[in-house]
Amino acid sequence: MKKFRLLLLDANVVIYLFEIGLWDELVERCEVLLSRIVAEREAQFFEKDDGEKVYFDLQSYIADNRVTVIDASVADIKAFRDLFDPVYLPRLDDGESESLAYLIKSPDKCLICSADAIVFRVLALLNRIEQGLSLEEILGEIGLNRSVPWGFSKQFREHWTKRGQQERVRGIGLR
Amino acid sequence: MPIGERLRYARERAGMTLRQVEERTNIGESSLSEFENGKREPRLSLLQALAEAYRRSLDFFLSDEPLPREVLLWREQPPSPLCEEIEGEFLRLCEQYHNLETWLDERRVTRLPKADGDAATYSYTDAEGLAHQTRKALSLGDRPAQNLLTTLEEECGVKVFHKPFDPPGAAVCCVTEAFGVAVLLNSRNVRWRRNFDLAHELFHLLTWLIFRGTQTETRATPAPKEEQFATCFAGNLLMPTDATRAAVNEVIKEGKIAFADMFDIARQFDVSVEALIWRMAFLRYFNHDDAPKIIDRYKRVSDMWEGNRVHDDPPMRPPRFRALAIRALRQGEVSLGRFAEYLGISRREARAMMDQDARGDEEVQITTA
Repeated sequence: MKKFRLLLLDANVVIYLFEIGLWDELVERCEVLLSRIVAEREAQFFEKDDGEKVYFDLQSYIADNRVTVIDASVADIKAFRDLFDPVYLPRLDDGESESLAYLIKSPDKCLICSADAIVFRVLALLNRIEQGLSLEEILGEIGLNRSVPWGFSKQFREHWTKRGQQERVRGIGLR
Repeated sequence: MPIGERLRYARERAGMTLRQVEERTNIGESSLSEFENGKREPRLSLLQALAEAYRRSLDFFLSDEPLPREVLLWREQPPSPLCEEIEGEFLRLCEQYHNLETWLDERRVTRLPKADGDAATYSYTDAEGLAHQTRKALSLGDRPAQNLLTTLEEECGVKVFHKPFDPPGAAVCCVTEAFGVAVLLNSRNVRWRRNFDLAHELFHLLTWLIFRGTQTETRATPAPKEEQFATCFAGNLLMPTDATRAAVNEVIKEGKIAFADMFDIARQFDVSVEALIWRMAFLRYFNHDDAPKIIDRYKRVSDMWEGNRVHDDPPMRPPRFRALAIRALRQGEVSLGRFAEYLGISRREARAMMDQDARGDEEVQITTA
């Protein structure tokens, strides 16, 4: 039984996992979903310290059903977009928009792991904070605890989730 | 406007055929045609691929707003497809700048002096007068080139970008409903040439309603006469009459002026010696017809001075753009990927900047005097 089911990962998380060599372990222990934009366009390589690009192959994981690709339609993204003040959507990566649009429409309770403040703010605005996770928390739950950069930390998620909650209370951001 | 029509508009604006789009995106021509005709909608990942090919944001295709009016005015328009590529990149930068301002509530209203006149009767006297009026209104002082760029960017809300492209004389400006006014200068040109280009484009922005009116074409080329007015304006703006006369008169010896002194005056005003020579002709220091010969003579010996003039390499995005982007990241207003895209850096570099910020900002206690 996998520890996390229906876990959407944004591109930053995928790239970082390959960078630190934990991608395979995470896929082994979690049911990973990737939006098609993340899988095919945004998560392609990580960079070494010297700037060298190291490409990775997500297609083989997809072909072996170790990772599931999800799509969002234009109607899905428009429905997601219509929840917010129009200036919100361009702030997100396109892959994040696709992931969040899917999360909202899905009858299953998906989770999303991100390293972006705006994602956690959006989840809080939508009153879905329980569906957001930091990579630090995931790694901790699956027995792969380690120190992570600020953007992947639980503290980061909590900070920006709180900000989103404050905005929700003040009626900022939503239509 | 339906997505299909937006797709067609964006493709045509990008100067691409369906075949070319297919080659770039691996999306079949028949599918592209069906998307544009509204027979079916692309899934989001394909729409994103098309957005990238057309240099548009995804949001452009999802919007229900009417298509924005984007009129671009070229000086020495490059040939297709280079022209469309540059325009696409320029408008994309304008949109990004606009987004940053909006997200941070830092929208700058365009504040430029109002130009009066009629296209049919516009004269050099009008251009001179406008230069004088503009210099005063913007408080540019006696050496306007020293702070023209900063003033236009920081105080007047003009977005100024730099990019290398050919031909060297090319520059483009635009007035858009969505993004305001913007100029794209050629970074291949040296700074003193770019100063003149900027002043030249400023004339077009100031007189937009006079010469463009309510034009609906997306691309325009100024008439030769309008270009001459722009050049007259630029010379008058960057080399104000009194200040130029004072500088030139100071170095005239026995009715002559040395090229070395001309170079030094041009350096002070941060213009080319060529521009100064034309200005001096305009101020009747010598016959107008003699200016080309004087320029030729200067060019034969110019290496002696021009070689020591310090060149610069302007960033594509203005400092304020960069500052807004960093603040947007710091304030959680933009994703890491979007930030990296806006600054033209890798995700890794963007993450490093975000991790730096994790240490938090420091504050200084202000005590009242």
